[in-house]
Amino acid sequence: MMQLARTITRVNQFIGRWVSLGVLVIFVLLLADVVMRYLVGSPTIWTAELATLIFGVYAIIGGGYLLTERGHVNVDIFYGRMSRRRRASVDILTWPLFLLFVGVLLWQGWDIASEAIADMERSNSVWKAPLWPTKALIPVAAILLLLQGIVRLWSDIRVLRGLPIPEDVFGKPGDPDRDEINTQEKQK
Amino acid sequence: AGEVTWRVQAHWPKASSSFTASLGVVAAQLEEKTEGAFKLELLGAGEFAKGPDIYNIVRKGVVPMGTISPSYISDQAEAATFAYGIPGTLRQAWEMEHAIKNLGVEALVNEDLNADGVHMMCEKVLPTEMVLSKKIESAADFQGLKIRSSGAMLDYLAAAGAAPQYIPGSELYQSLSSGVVDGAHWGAAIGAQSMSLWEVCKYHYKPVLAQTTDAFILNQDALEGLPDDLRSALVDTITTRFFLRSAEYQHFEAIALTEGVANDGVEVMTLPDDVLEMLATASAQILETEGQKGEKAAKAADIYRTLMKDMGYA
Amino acid sequence: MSVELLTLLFFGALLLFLMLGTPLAFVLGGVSVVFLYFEMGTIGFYLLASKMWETMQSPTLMAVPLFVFMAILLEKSGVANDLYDMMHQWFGGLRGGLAIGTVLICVIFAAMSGISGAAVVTMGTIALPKMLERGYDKKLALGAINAGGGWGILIPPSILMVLYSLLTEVSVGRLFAAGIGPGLTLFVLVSLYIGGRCWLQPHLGPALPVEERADWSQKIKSLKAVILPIMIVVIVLGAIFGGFATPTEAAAIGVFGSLVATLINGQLTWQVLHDASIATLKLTALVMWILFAAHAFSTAYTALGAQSLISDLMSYIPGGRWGALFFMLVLLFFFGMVLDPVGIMLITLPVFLPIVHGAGFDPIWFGILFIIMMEVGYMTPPFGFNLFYLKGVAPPDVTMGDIYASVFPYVVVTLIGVALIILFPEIALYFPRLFYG
Ligand code: NA
Ligand code: NA
Repeated sequence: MMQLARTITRVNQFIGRWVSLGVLVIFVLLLADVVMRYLVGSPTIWTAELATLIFGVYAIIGGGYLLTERGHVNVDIFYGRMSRRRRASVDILTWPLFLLFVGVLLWQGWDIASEAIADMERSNSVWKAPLWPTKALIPVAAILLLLQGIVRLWSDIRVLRGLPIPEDVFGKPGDPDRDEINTQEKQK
Repeated sequence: AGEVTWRVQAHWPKASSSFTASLGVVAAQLEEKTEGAFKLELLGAGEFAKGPDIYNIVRKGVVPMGTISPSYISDQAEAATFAYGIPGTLRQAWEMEHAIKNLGVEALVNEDLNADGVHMMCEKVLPTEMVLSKKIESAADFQGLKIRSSGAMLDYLAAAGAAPQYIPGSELYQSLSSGVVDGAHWGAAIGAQSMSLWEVCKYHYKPVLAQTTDAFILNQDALEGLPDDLRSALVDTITTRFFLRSAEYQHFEAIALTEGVANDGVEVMTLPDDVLEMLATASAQILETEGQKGEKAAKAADIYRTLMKDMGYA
Repeated sequence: MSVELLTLLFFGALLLFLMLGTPLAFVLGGVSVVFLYFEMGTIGFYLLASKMWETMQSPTLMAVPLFVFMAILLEKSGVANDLYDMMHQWFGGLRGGLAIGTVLICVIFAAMSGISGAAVVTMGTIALPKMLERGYDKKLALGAINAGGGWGILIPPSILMVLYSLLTEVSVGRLFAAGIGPGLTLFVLVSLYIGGRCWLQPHLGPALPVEERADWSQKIKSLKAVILPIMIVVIVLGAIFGGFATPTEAAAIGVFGSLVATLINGQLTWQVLHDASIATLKLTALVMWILFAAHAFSTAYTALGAQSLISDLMSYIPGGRWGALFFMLVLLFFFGMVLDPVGIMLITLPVFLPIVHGAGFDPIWFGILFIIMMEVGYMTPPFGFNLFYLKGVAPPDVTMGDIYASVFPYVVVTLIGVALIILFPEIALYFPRLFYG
């Protein structure tokens, strides 16, 4: 089990590291568009479209990675003041909401992707850009996020049972700075 | 009799005149005809979906009805591009109405769509025309002209030497005003007016690049599930509206252009003959290529060719 | 069930889960799923995935990672640090001077981009740490960036204005021109607020002690710090207004400029590029996942009958045309707290426009009020993209609570701006008339 969780976390971290370079690709494509239009004088019609398709992947696929970093923004007004155990139990309580969202996204994303793959769907631009690879990554992004969410749920359960949650298996364990602040405030 | 309410996802923005004059009128007439038994709840572009995805939500039955540009469904139906309109072929709106309804282009599209559970009924014929910030006096002026374009029109303009490119609608005005592109087509006069294009492009070019259409699409299961009287009320209303709305739209086009000339200082121009010649060659080529998509596309291409021959265009 | 009751349940669930600390994206997405099922059954679920696809395809959102990347490069290359040193040497004697300088840079960034987030991430990355280092009050600094960052949609070019004019068929050019006066007005008001507040409470934005202030030769020398930032601003603005690039492409040109600046400062290493890329991905993923869910949320609310609710509400309008205007602004304020501006536009504008026309209001002027209310929406808790951007880039000891608390005075100042524009419509309408007659 630990091995499985570690693998999921590592896969997401690996994806995050490599996909992050996508911003450079988008940058180069858009700059190429301007350069081709003005310096070369022959505008390209595919660069902007390709950049958009890459951006779409870039935007969704990092969801699971962001969860390993506990980077999805939340409102910490009350949450930030809770003890670690209290936070873990609240997270377990609200986990079904996460499951609903990501589960339905996986299900419907799978529908969209399989239809796009079956038709080898292309855009209706002149370049006829293949849309199916980007669409196929919607359920992939959902799976990556869902798996990491399951890892998180397990780490919350372990917190309640007083077990350790090593960072290389479960990703970042919340906010250590804030934990310290909480402890200090309680001591006052 | 029970009451039926259908959600309809339009591809027009809700506050636009197209939305009100097309969908709004159909909804009102239908409600009147059925004495309130059949209501349409109208959604503006993007409320549930926009663009090509409207086809999907209708096909899946998320909403029973929607409006599209047939250019969205060129992958779903062989003859869709012919229902949308081929640049440089038909010149008058009535020719397009005739080709769509009497000569069978719409029926050819429906052969494919019905297999998908969708039925298309054209909403109106509307022209596409180009606006430019530069004057074109010869084919040389047209060379390298940067035009915001999309779909089949892109090939067409490129063939005559322009350098068409894609700019998202949200950045079009800014791009025209600063000179990133020299021109665009967004519908014709009504489109140019609603997108404020005339503020930055003073030359409005004739002839039409193409006669095109907008269309209603209906989920077949939903359509068949209607009581007979409601179904025929809906189908009859849409069928009649096609001709009425197409005629009315031409009138509004003329009004819009007159207003543009008076208020925005627009000059109505005609493309020079040498540009038109190059466009004509490109048009024949596109017709040829589109016709090779399959049996139904070939039939549609023949409908176009015959009509053009009878009109003396080719 | 009535729309009113559904609305209470819908937003009640949102607030409850937000306060429990569940990440925003999951709250918005999860609540949307529940209500879509309730309204349409499982068939409605398709909208969740199709809205995601629609959002992924947005060509203008591409500017988000580019601006983030640019900001992080400027920070890591020391360009930002030099710039703030320079500002401190010149304006160090003025209480709150750095914060006023920051909102001035926000004005420049607003002209460089059509979206709201660009200036927020840039200033949150480069200005916030510098102000905190120099003893500025956390809330004063956060709020200044939150407020100034929102001007990207008010000062042209503006994606949201294009959307407004697409929905209302008013002139884009006039609307762009109408944004200039109110943008500058808000800049003056916010600067006055910062200056006044720091004058009364010097510890909020401390001036440099007299003995540490630079002499003239040091001041002149420090000016070389503005060369690189000005170069970037000039090429980006030059590209937009010289007709070389769309605003989105101009963001790529800005990245190019900041790469060059980083190179000149001798900081362009693989490590810097890698760190900047990772930070950019995190912030983009954070924002985009919220956006996916937010679009699903607006869609679910539309399905529940949001528009008939607004129509119903409008029938209670008190007191003629001014009552109607006040009522619409109040509605926009409350919607701005919980929905994203694109969703608000789609839901409210079709109901508001006939009222605006009926009351004889100038639709351009109303458009400016509308855009400023959207800007307020970007910064009002609990749901506002400026808040999330800021949380994404701020140092770890800045909590969401700090950010929420920081916006209050700036919202008041912005609303004073709205009141001024209502009292003196010329603030908005002067430039359109100047340019278009
Ligand atoms: Na702007
Ligand atoms: Na808000």
